[in-house]
Amino acid sequence: MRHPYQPGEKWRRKIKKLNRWGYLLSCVLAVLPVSCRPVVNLPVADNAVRSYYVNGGTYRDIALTFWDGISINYVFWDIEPDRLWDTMWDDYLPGIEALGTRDPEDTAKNSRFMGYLREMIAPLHDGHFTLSSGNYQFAPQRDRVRARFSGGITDDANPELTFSSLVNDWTGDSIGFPGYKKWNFVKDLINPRYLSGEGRIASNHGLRIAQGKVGIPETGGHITYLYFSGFMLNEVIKKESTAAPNNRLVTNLLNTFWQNLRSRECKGLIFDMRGNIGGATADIEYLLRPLLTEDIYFANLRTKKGEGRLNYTPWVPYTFSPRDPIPNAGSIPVVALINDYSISCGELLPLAVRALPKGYLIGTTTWGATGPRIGNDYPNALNDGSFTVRWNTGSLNVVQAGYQTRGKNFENYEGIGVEPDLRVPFSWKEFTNNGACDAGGIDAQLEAAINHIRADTVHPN
Amino acid sequence: MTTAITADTARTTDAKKNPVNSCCFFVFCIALILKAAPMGAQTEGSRNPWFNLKLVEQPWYIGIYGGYANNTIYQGGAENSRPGKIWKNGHGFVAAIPARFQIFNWLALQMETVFITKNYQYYYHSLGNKPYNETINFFVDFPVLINLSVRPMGMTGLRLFVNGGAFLGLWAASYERGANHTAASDKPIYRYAGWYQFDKRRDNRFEYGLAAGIGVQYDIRRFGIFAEWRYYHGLSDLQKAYQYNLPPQMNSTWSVQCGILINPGKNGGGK
Repeated sequence: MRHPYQPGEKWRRKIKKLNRWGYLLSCVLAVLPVSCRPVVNLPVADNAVRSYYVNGGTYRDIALTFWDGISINYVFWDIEPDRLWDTMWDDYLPGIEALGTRDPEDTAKNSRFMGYLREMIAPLHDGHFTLSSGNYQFAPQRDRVRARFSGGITDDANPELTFSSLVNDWTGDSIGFPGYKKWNFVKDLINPRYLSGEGRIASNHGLRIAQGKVGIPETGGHITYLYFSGFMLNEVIKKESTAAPNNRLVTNLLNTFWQNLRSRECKGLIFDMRGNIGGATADIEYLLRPLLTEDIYFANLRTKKGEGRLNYTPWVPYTFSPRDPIPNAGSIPVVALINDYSISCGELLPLAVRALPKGYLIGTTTWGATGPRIGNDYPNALNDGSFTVRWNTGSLNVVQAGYQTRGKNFENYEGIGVEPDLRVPFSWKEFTNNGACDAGGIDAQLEAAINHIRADTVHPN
Repeated sequence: MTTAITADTARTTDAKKNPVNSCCFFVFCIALILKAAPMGAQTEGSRNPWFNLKLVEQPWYIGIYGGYANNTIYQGGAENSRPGKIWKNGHGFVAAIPARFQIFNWLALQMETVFITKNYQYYYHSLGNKPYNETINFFVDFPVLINLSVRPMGMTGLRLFVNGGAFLGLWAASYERGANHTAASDKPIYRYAGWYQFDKRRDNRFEYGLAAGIGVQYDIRRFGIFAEWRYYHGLSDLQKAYQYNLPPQMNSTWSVQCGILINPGKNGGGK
């Protein structure tokens, strides 16, 4: 009689039982999360207009789309404190949720909502960052630059020298002296007092520009000077190309500038970047490539690789080559004048000047917006930059950089500014000739640049 | 499994699971394993003597294999959030040293040291395919697999097998090459290539997941020559949880490989 438990029989019975339950167990395993993966919900932008459309009717819905948009498009997370944006969400969510359903007629609620958003973005260091909606406009770096002026910035502590006066003087219509219009200091002081030569002032298509020669008594020859209000030189040249020759005001002035610069009598060059709010990066090359004898490398750029905040592409160098060099390329000193309202390309050109063999920066710290913006010709194509949040009764418009820029040695300037090699504060008392606003004033920063070049001319390095 | 930390469970991190797509293949393999085991257990006098519970003498095999690996980076849906940006799978290689402990004819435990590249790439379709980026990730994986095999009737030396199990891995190195925009009009595109510097705030260099494979082996004397198709299903995020609503980055890798196993203790005989 066969024993019921032959060798191995115990295991065979167990395996037969397992067969019965085998399929059931596999179904149980199917619902276990052991092999499942998380899914995220990210807003998908309308490709043509870089807009995210809000689903839902509450302030929370708008805030969440806004928060997601910043999270995936802002490019400076690596210089912000860890988890800053998550902390902002945690801190402000209760107040935003309490606002409930959005109401375009409730100005108090809307004001509170915009106030929350303003506080959330306040710590962000992007110098281009601007949040606007209707009559509201917030720019964190503007507030930080404003704070530089509490108590004045000049040695003589002129009370007229406030942030407002700085803005107005270099970009607005008037300063604290009634009737004194913007950019008049170029026309009424710099031009008549310091410059000589033909065709020194022009204004066309929103661009104001001044150039001229500054004589060097000790050695003869001259320094070439150029001031312009924004990086739109090529744009205006293109617009003027269809005008009559006499109406190509900016083009003709620039031709005179290049003649002065290409003269063998030119011993130095001053770029006046004070109050220059930036524009097209192509103008940097337009101005600097003729000054080169070899490739220039002055900064590094990177952008986002993926949607995670710290997911970046490798750095690429910001570099360009010589083009049609001037006779004295590489041998003449080049000075860039900078101040707190030198912004964007108004800071990148000085960075490039610093990389020149005899480049030098004079003035005060720049604004701190070195990361280039992306234009609308790349709608939603890249991982970063400006965007709009839209809903049926309104929108939030976010302007921000699309790239990080660091210095040649990866120094960060964003939200900080570029420091001058020689700090020379601006004195309104001297500049306006104690309020007379005439050619009797003194531009201490410009004179420091002239003296620097004259010293190099007398004792070349 | 990595899930981001959040206070907003309605939208962010405890993200919805997606059981159907991920589980199907593994359900199939697990069911196959469970079905094959009891099917193989036969009593004395069974029609197929392959499936017996006789412990194998000289159970250890050691070998080597190599082949091609193809990887996709899973991003939880984020890969579709930029319509002009295309993410593609990457091509790489695999090389490994397997060690197999043959318990029964049909059942073995296999442990491997696998050198594998898990690559991926993207390009901006809307910008003429530049910028683009190819990321080459070098991993050392340690899968532990249950190996089940069956010898088709009448085919001496040939066996069909399935593998199923899990793996741990180390993200050893990363190399990137590609092109990106610059701000200079005379050099608008810059081509780069170089080793990636790991960011300790961001990068999670330890990986784990499930692995399964199917293949064929021909045994001759002490050697076994095999070919296998294998799939690695990464369950760990290559990123640390450094932010809310972080899109995951997980490897999904398949490979085709062939190699050879040798039983050093075996003398003659090929079955």
